[in-house]
Amino acid sequence: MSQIETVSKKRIVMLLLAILLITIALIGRVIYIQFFLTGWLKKSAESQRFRAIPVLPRRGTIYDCRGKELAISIDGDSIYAIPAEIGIGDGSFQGKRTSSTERLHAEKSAVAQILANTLGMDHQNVLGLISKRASFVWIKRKASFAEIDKLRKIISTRKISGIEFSQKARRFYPQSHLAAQILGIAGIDNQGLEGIEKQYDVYLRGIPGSDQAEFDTTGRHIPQGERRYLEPVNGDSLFLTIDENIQYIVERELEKAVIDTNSKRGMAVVVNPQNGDILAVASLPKYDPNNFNDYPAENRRCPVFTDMYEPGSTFKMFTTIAALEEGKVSLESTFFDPGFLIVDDRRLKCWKAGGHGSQTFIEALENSCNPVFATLALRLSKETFYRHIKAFGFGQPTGIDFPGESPGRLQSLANVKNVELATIGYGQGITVTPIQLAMGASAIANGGYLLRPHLVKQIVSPDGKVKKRFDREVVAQVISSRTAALTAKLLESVVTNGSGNRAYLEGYQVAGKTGTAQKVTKGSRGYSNIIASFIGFAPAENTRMVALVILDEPGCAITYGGVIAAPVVGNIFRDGLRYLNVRPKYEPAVLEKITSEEIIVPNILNMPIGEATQLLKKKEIQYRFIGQGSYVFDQIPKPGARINRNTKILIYFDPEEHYDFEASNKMVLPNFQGCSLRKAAEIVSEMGLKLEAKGAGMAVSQNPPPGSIVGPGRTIQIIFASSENGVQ
Amino acid sequence: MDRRILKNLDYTIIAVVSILILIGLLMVYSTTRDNVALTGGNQFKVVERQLLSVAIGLVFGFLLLFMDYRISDRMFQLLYVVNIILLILVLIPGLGSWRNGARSWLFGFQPSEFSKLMMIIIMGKYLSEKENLNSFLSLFFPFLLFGIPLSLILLQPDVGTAMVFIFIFLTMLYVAGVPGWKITTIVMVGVAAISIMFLAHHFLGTPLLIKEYQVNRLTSFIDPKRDPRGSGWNVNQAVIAVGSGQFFGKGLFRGTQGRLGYLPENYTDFIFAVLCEETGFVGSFIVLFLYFTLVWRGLRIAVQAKDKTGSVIATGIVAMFLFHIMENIGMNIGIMPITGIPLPFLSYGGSAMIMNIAAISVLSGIWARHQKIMF
Repeated sequence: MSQIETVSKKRIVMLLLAILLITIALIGRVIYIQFFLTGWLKKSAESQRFRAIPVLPRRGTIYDCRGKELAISIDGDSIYAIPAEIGIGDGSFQGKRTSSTERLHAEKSAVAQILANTLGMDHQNVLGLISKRASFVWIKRKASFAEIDKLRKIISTRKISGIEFSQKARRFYPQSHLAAQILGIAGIDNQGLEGIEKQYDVYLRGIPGSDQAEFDTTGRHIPQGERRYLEPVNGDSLFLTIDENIQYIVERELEKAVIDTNSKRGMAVVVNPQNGDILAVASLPKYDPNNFNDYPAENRRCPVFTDMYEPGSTFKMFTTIAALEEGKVSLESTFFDPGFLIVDDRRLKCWKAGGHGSQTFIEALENSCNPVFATLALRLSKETFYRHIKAFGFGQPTGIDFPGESPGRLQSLANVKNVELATIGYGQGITVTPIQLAMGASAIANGGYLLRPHLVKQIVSPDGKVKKRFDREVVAQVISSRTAALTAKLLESVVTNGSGNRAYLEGYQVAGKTGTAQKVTKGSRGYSNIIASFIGFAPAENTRMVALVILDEPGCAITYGGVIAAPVVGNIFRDGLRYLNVRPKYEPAVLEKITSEEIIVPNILNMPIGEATQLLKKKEIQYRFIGQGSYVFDQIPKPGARINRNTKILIYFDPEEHYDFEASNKMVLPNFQGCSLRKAAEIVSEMGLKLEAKGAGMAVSQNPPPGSIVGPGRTIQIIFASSENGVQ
Repeated sequence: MDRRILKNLDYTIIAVVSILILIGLLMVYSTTRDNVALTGGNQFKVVERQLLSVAIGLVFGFLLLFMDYRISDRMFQLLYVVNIILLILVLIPGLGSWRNGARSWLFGFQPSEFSKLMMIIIMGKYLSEKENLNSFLSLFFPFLLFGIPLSLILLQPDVGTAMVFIFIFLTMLYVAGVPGWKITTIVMVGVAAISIMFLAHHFLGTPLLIKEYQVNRLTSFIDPKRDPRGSGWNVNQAVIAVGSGQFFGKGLFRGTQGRLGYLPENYTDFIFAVLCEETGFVGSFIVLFLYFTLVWRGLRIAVQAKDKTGSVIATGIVAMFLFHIMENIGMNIGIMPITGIPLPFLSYGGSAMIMNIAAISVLSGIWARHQKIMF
């Protein structure tokens, strides 16, 4: 028998035990990896093997509040290469007895030449791209259809491999510059860069899908490998609060004013004070988002939200409302303005040399008299005045859904001495953004509620479901409804009797306040340039629109806001309210005057422009061109309509201008049955129609019948009968 | 006598080894057939070369079977000198060639592979004939005897093989009867020395005996996510391949991770991962079971050997296999450092295959000679 010591034997058995344990441990580990770690491992293995070519989702459409397209995505193609797979399979490089690397290089060069010729690119450039040690390179993005078509043909005839196409949507703004600053721009990779496109990028961009295919480590596609296609989820669509028609009106009026006054910039905002919807925002100079690179970047900003300025006299409406609320002034209060006010050691001048003399408070507001408002501010004390200013939202962002909003700037309370307090009373020494001012005025117009403004009405998913809706959102009630209504009445008299009278609109109650602020310009000392502005709302009761127009650095002789900005607001209200179906209420005397001077609009449709203007001149009708062209495409009002002598006829040339003025001008005739003569006359005049009454008593029949669509100025015949005749 | 030896072989071991070699050939074929850079178009090129090594190994092993493991003193000296000369020759630039960061190849084979078996036989004779191994002083000569080839291997530098050497040596000392606490002390001293070397490198900037990237590779298995594209790549890829096999595997020749180029050294060091991917838990369990059988049978031979020399040599051979299996499979499943140690009979590699078959032959020789009735 073997003579091994027992020690050795024991130790060998120990060794065997150890080995058994080790084997069990190894098996345990294998089981762990193969049964418990598999999900994670499989994923990481697949993510290595599968290469995904992104399939981009269609970016959501941006509509105006009525569903007109403002920003859409149209499909475009991009061309990309997989450098490791590039080759030509038609045999043209087969016969040559060169090494495989040389042949590969020759093929690459040839492919690059083909790409360069087809796509109008530089050969060396393309060769550099397809020689990269990358799994994937873009050759040309947003290629035209013709280029794609041509390239596809060449690829199939010459059996080129490694060049592929990817669908990419391209952003297009069909209305070009309309509301361009609001919409902003989206980049080449479907990412929102500015404006609404940026603010709502999360919704608009959608979720990319992918086309996955198996690749090995050297980047070669495995032809028999698995292929997976993941459908992209298209982006949500946005419905803005912007109304394309009002936006158009605002831009048209603003552009006209900026040109007429030779202003450096112009901006305007129109808000619905009842729910905080922003109906229009315009800023000049304009730009076309389809070719934004052709314009200075400055033009893309939206100063209505992002820029602060000294509001000047328009701010007096807030001094007024605070003083009324606190009982520091009443309508009966009288003031005397010698043309200045001494505060501490400073002499604060009134804008009118020599002053306004003795005046009531209403007259002071109508005159926009600085010393009076300085006095009111001093009476309020800085703490109380600041409380009201802050309540109206100044000094903090309005919370509008737009990137880069500025909060404006209030001086810190500690720095406000009597002089500063007095100047804030007439709008100097405080900076605000136009949207803050518009929302503050909205609070006066809607009975004292500060609302959060918004640009997006609803977000709609690709399958048509409403994902989110933005309605009236009250930040706070900032003033009593009584004081708000009283202030609105006062502001109405500013337009009717005072400095804002150029915004006066026959038949509508317009309220408002002028502003002529001086601004500090870089490089020059003190105040030199002017910012002329006007903020108004109409109708003064049940207000439908608040509009603020600002003309920055006007270059004309007279730069008062009341002179150059107020008429712009007046025009916006005239066309805007009519578009919103708000009928003018004419005083009977005025109605008489209007109807007696009416003219019937001649038909100039499709006439050569020379002939049309001749005809209009002969009839002494004013007109204005919209767009350019040689034939009349459309006219507003339509032929046969009765118009006031002062109304201009708009002549359209461009078929792209598709504003449906026709619909907005027409109205549905109500049923007059049972109305008294007086009541019927009132309704008819409210609607801007003419009444031809027959008989007396209650209305029994009418021509045209109820429900007819009629245009303004149309004569309505109503037959009245007394109850004795058997009619109720 | 010749016939008796053949009659008394442990055919279980031979069967186990044969199955392992067959599995190895299959896996080498699976991993190399599509690798044009390696095969140059002939799908069977690598397998054919492996088959040639097997053939050489069988012939060599067959001859060894008839050589007694109890070598003479002259043979002892001759073997030792040849061993040292080979290990020195491989270090000479021009003779030894440089591969994978070590100068370990001499005319197409690796002397360090054969050195393992030679040292096992040499140390088996020395340790079994030495009467007293109880004092530290008595261990001085065996350490010197063993230290010289070990140092030469470290000079290549081949850390993996050096680790195998140390493991074999310690196991043989243990079975030869060196008191356990002395072996523990020696191990502790060694660990302390290595720690001091690293600490000195870290704080004083003294040179390390191995290179920075080797340290990274050795430690990457602890946290492969630290550098997943660099030193952690191999571990990650191996574990991914093992895991993607699941129970039945993806099927032979159907692995993706192992064969699409993600897993480097897939036909040598990481062949076990490919096996796991393609044959799943079933395949990996069978292979582990076969290895366990091999080791268990080896220790059975050690216990029943006719004399202490046979017992110590058999233990040395088992230790060698054990370390290779443990280390290679361990690094394939992310629990051992990455070293270039191949899996016996499965990994591609000529020198290793010849030496492994030769080692089995020596083991079989010990078994065949253990029953006295044979002689």
